[in-house]
Amino acid sequence: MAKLQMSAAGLETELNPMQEGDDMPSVDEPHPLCWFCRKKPATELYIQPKSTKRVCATCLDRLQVQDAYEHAWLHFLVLEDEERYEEVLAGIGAFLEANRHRDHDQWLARSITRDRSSVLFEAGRYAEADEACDAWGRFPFDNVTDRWFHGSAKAQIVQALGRPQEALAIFEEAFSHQDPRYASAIPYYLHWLVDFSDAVGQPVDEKWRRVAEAGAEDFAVEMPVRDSLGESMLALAEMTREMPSKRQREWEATHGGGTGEDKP
Amino acid sequence: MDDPREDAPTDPYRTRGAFALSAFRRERASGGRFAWAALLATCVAVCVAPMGCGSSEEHAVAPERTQGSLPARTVRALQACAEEGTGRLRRQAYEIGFKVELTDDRVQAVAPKGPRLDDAGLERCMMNALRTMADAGFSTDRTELVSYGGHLPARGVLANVTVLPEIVKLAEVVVAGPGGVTIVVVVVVVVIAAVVLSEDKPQEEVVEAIKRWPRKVLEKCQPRFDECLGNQYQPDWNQEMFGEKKDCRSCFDECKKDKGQWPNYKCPPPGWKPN
Repeated sequence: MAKLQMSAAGLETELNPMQEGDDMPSVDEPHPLCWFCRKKPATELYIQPKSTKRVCATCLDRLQVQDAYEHAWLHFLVLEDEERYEEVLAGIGAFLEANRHRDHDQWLARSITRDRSSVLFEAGRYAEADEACDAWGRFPFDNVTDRWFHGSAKAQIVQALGRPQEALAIFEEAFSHQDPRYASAIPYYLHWLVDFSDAVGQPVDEKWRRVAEAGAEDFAVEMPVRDSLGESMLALAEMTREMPSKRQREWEATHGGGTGEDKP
Repeated sequence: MDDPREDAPTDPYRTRGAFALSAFRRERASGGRFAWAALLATCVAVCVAPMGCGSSEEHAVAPERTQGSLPARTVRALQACAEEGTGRLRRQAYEIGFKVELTDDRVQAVAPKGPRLDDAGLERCMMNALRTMADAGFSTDRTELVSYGGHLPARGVLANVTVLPEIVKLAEVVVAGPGGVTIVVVVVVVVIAAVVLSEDKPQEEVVEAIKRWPRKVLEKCQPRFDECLGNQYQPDWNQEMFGEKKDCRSCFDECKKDKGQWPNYKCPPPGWKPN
């Protein structure tokens, strides 16, 4: 089993010697495209406990860096829990420096900027968290849900800084970016509209009803009828949380329900 | 799973919960009277005196009620755990304690206290059983709880709300599994009620209140983060939207910011089959 570790010297990722199993694909076998980017030739093996994937060298870096960073957070979370925020900030900063040369698509830099904002927010250092959040926002978003997530985080910081009206405006701007392909994520974000509106003593603006309805449609349900739009939104979020999205229903209808996750 | 926060010196619940449970254990060991006298004396000394002299509230101990019992459904669930899991235990008899945090008649957190079982699966099963105790019918007397407010030390003033903790020790439950293995289950419930004191909302205190992620949020998110790390590939139906690999750290951050709701839409749990 391959195991990723941070080296003691420099927090770089390294891959332990692989133990090849009978079902392990060989790099010599013809496989035209990288499993991860589906663009470059797959020349490397990305080995995980439950499966091995053929990837290009660039994506191997990306995947190993992500694994190492996420597992490093198991340690950082302990520090964060003990309110040792400076150590967390120093740790993630050192991780970035040690792995920057492998961060070909800026995934690590973006993640660390986001997490830096989060740690600073938790430490109560809102002005710095705000700056880090802005820096995070300067990275390109992968999809609209990333933009919504950033908007909700930024709005939380601004609210903590005592500017609730601005917080609502920030989230509304982020949430105004819609993409029908991501309608299933809409219900997850509706409560922010309710929360930030509540904070300024306003009902949720009726202009968001259509967006909420799009979320309901994706789950093939009607918008719950409640006394206010905000309450309807919260009810919708609760109702759909354990329901399959349109995308999942369609995929299972055509593929028979296999998940494909971590298949050996 | 042991919560590392249990050792945080600034966690008032640890002080109170640990004290209550240790007092309870001393009572069990010595026949009871001395321990309860000590508990009462300590409560008077620690709760009342500091309020008069302005000492830190961190060392205050909330009065402990000895009343109540686990709902029958929860006891049955604990028994089911024992029947399924005691075969993996090495000894014949155990005593295990749990601390349950309850807010608004909802269980927010369950943590083991004191001696542990030597089978983590059985312990998890029991913690899951306790997590449902509110739904199974456990409730606290809110009127009585609020009436204690004048005597209780405040955990902390959050804007116009004061959070009042109360410790309720439940009658112990004995469950048994195959082969006569017995487990004494001791449950201490920490009840937290919010009482509105005034309409003022000083901004600094609001800010202070949201400064820390509530522990219950972390307790919800961290297991999902661990689970995500153990199953990082997106299911097929989600790959077109979110790529081949889950971004577990991002999902964890979103979970924390979203008050403990895991973003299933981009990091679906392994084998997730929604209804």
